[in-house]
Amino acid sequence: MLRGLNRDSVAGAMFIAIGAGGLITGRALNVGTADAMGEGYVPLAMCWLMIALGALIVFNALRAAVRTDPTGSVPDVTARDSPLVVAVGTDPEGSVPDVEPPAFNPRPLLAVTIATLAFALLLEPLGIIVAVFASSLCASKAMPAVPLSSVLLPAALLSLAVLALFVWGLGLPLHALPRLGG
Amino acid sequence: MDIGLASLLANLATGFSVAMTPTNLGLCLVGCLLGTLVGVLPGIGPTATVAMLMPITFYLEPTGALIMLAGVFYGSQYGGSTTAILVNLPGESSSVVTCLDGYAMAQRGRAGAALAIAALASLFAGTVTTLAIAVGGPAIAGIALLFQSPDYVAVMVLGLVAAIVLAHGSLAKALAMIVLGVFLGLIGTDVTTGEQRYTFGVADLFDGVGFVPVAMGLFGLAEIMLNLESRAKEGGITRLRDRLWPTRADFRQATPATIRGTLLGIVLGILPGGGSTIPSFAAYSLEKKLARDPSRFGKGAVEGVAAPEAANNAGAQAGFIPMLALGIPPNAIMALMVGAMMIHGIQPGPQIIAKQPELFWGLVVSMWIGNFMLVILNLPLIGIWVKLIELPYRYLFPGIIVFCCIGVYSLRNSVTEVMFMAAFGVFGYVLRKLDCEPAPLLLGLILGPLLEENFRRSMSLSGGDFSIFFTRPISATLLIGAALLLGFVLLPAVRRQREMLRD
Repeated sequence: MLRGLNRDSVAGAMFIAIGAGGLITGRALNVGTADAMGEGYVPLAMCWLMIALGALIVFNALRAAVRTDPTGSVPDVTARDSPLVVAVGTDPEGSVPDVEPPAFNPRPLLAVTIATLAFALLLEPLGIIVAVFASSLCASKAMPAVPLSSVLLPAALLSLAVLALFVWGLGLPLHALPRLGG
Repeated sequence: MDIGLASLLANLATGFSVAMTPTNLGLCLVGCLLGTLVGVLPGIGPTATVAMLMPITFYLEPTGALIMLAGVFYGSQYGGSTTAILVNLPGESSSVVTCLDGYAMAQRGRAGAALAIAALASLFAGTVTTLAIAVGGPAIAGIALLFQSPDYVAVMVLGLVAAIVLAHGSLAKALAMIVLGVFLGLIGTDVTTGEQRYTFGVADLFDGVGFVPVAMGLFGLAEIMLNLESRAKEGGITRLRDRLWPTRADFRQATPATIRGTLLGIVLGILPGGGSTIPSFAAYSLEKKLARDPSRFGKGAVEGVAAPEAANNAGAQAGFIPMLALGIPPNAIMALMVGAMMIHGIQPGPQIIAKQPELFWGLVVSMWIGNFMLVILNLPLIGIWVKLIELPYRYLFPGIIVFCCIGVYSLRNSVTEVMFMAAFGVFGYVLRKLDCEPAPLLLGLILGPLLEENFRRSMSLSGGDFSIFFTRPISATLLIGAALLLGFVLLPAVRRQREMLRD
């Protein structure tokens, strides 16, 4: 049963979940008739379609998992995951630049997301200098084993560059410094 | 609409007067520079860059904005080939194929010739495609003026079907992504009934999910996350030892390859799902099949550089044809340009060419000028670009994240939108891990509202009768075409080949 749990079946399940979620949360929408469509007609139709497609994807995934040789393992993460490799239209033995398959590593995901959220949450209360500085510190956490000292200077430079470019240069209405007393 | 030679020349003259203004020339240069930069640097692509520049286009004239964004797009095709040839590192996915023979040529001390061939092939393709836009655009727009709502629905369906068919990977997944995109595009206030759809009371959603946060999250942030995860082995940087110019034999071999690549690029670039990556791969395969001695490929065959380079430039520019003539973007980056037009209150569609001739012809002429600018940027200034690759990614990516944040924030002065972008960044990461392509989602997002509006109108025109799509000749033809395309791809023989390519 666990063999069926591959990328495709999870993807299919995701679509089913989204579609079902849409149907449930949108049940109050007025569907109307074909010649006088309510606001719910097309969105709910899309939800049904997603469920159907999700089921198809899961079905195909399970069928493929059953067909796989039980001793051979199909690696879940391949070089295809690399953003540099696009497998279209080449002959099968065509060589592509050598890329190491990436392992699943939660650091970049967390670091980038937290960096973005840090910016969003700090911008209005504390101004752009603090927001950019904090954000780029969080971002640098994506790369392991980088000493904090080597990160502070680029972060500071970035804050200044942003200030110069966006606030002074382009005149965007961003507060440079923390707003004291809200 | 007048498409005789005299009117073409008159229109081009209008275009020149628009494109040659100092502002527009400057914007063209900025676009080309940024495009080359983005093309050279791996880990950031033209789609994310165009998404990041969206907020800036607010402050520009629409013509100037499009000129700059276009420059970024076709400029990145030039830049990507530079690193592909010199360092075996494709800056863009459309330059992956150029690595094969381009780097091989460089290793034999022929880097200069490879770079020149790439640049010249791109210039040829750019020029020819610009002409194709100038002639084809108005012609297609003329036909499109006959379109009514059902025909629009049909052409969008055909477009979306072609997008899935031409994409690699699972059909069902690509289709599901489009449907999800359409669904997301419909979130917000329904224009017709005034009711809220899936907004859950969040004020920032009343106008819909902004496509800029989605684009930046899915393409920008997710791309950064994936890049930080993987490490690519790059070849040593080859010094430019030989003379910059190719030999006469090179030209003789490269010329037919360039022509074939250009034509292939134009055809595939017009079709939805096109863009520049698929044409470059297809052109390489074609050259290899046509060559008298296919074993030369991978070892420094000039055609292996000329054809894909011509194809990727032609493909990139040809995408403007359906965008400008029909208002229907064939791929994600064209969808963003449609968005840029909408930001300025310009409704894309076939009437644009007639009603906004300065926009259309100005853009067309500036593309031609841009191609020349790029040859100059890419040949003499190569040393600078090579130095840039040596800049560690670790200094670059925090800046990219911050620029994305500022860009999104400045659109509606909303931190909520920045948080949406973060959410879509996570979603984009998850999608890539699940082997789902994000581009169809963006396409669906932009086309969704258009599709629904025309569908509704068709239905109220026909009084709820679905057969209206088949009784109108234009719409019936287009839908039959879509069905044939879908059927072709579902054929067992074609399926097996696609599955083989997937693994």
